[in-house]
Amino acid sequence: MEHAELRKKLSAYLDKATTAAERLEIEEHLSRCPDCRDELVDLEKTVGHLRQLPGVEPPVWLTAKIMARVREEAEAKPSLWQRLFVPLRVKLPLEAVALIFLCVTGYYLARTMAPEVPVTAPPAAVEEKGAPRPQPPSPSVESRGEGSKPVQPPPPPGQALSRQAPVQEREESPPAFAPAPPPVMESPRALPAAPRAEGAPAPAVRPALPAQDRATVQAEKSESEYFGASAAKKAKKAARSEEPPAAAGVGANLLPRVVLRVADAAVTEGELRQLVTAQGGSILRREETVSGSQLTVRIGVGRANEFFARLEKLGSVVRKPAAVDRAAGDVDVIVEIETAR
Amino acid sequence: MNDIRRHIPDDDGELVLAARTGDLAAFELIVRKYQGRMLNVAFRITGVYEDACEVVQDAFVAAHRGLKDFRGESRFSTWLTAITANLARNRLEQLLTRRKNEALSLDDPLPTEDGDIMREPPSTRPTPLEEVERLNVQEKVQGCIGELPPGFREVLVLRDLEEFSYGEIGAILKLRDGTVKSRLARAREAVKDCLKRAFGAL
Repeated sequence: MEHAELRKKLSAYLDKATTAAERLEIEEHLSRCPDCRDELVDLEKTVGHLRQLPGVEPPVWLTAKIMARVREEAEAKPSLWQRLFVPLRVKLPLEAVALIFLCVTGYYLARTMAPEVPVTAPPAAVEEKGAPRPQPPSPSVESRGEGSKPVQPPPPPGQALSRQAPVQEREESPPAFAPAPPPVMESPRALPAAPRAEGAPAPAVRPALPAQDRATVQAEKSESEYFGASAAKKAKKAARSEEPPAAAGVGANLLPRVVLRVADAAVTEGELRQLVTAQGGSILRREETVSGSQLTVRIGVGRANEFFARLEKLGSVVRKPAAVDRAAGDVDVIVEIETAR
Repeated sequence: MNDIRRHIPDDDGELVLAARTGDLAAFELIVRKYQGRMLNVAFRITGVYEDACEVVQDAFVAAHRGLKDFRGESRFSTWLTAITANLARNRLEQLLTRRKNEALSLDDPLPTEDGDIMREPPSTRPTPLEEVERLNVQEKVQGCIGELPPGFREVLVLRDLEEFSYGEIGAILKLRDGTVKSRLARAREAVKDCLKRAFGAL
């Protein structure tokens, strides 16, 4: 073993921390090497000096000071805990209550807001009755009404027929609604009969007042309908199973009507059909009337205004529906052609 | 003092148990039993008596705080010494940093057992070796220990002043056995050379 290497191991050798093999090597080297032996002696003396260093005495106040600090900490801790947790005990229930309150509020808010979003795109003026009608918060009623799109008063009196309309018809609209209650027309006899009956003396004159009355009646009726919904639904089911067309037909009460006074109803009907085709619309239904015919026409809402404009050229328009203000979708209109007498 | 130091029985089980439950009287007994030893550890490592006293207080307060976490895997004295030695090492490094920053100051003190003494004015300032020579043996020895850098100093103090085993030193300072061995050898070698210069001969 080299001297340098040996000297590094002397410290461990002193502490008896070498392996047995190393110890033998070291002792063998030491027996031959006086310089290294001197090194070992110096090392032993050094360690001896270190070990003989007297210990320093602690100051007399040291224990007391330590205990004072320990006590301080021991007492401070509980209040720290309390500061954290007692408020927590109060905070947590409070937060829970607040959270519940917020959730409940949010839920009710959501319920109230939702109906404003129209579920479907029903025809515009179908809800003429919608204006005077109350706004029930159910989505179905809302969708059937752009009752939110108020029909300008006075609403076209065509709705008057609702009086006749069995309650179940009205109730049918919500489920059947989508583009338009499919068979919309009331029984042809009933429909023309009523306006005839009411306005018979002067069919041309549809005065505003009766219209308003009819609208009012309609409003009242709709209210009663609304509150009698469950009964109505049962009746509706019955009606539906018996007479789908008739049931559907009463939906006609909801549609805008145009009455055209012409010289020859048959000729005008042909012209009307051409006009409908030109406007990309379709004839949903045709019925004979006493003085002519009545057609239920479906027109795209974008074309509706033009359709009505051209309609006016076909004859004298006795009654016009309210302006179409729906953004999209189709409009169903009843065009009644009347031969002038 | 040395004999007493070496022969303190280390059977602290009951005392520690009592102290853990919050028995402050039991903890005070622990303090009285170990404060001298811990002060020496702190003093030999930091080299400054006042700082050593503060370190010991901090160590016992920390030990009391951590009592609930002491699971008796090591001897209580080893655990307490570890706390003390590490706090002392931190304090030493603070002192060295401060001294380095104040190196150009006229008032650079030489740490001794009795506290800091003032250096003489620069023109007549003696060399570190001359400083050491003027002191008595104990002060010289402490001065040579003070020449050791942190990391080496603690190993030497724990081995040759407090007589912990290599394994215990490794646990206290979180060092591998080989590191303890090599650092101790180099620390002893350095002190040996320093003392030779200070005494002329050992």
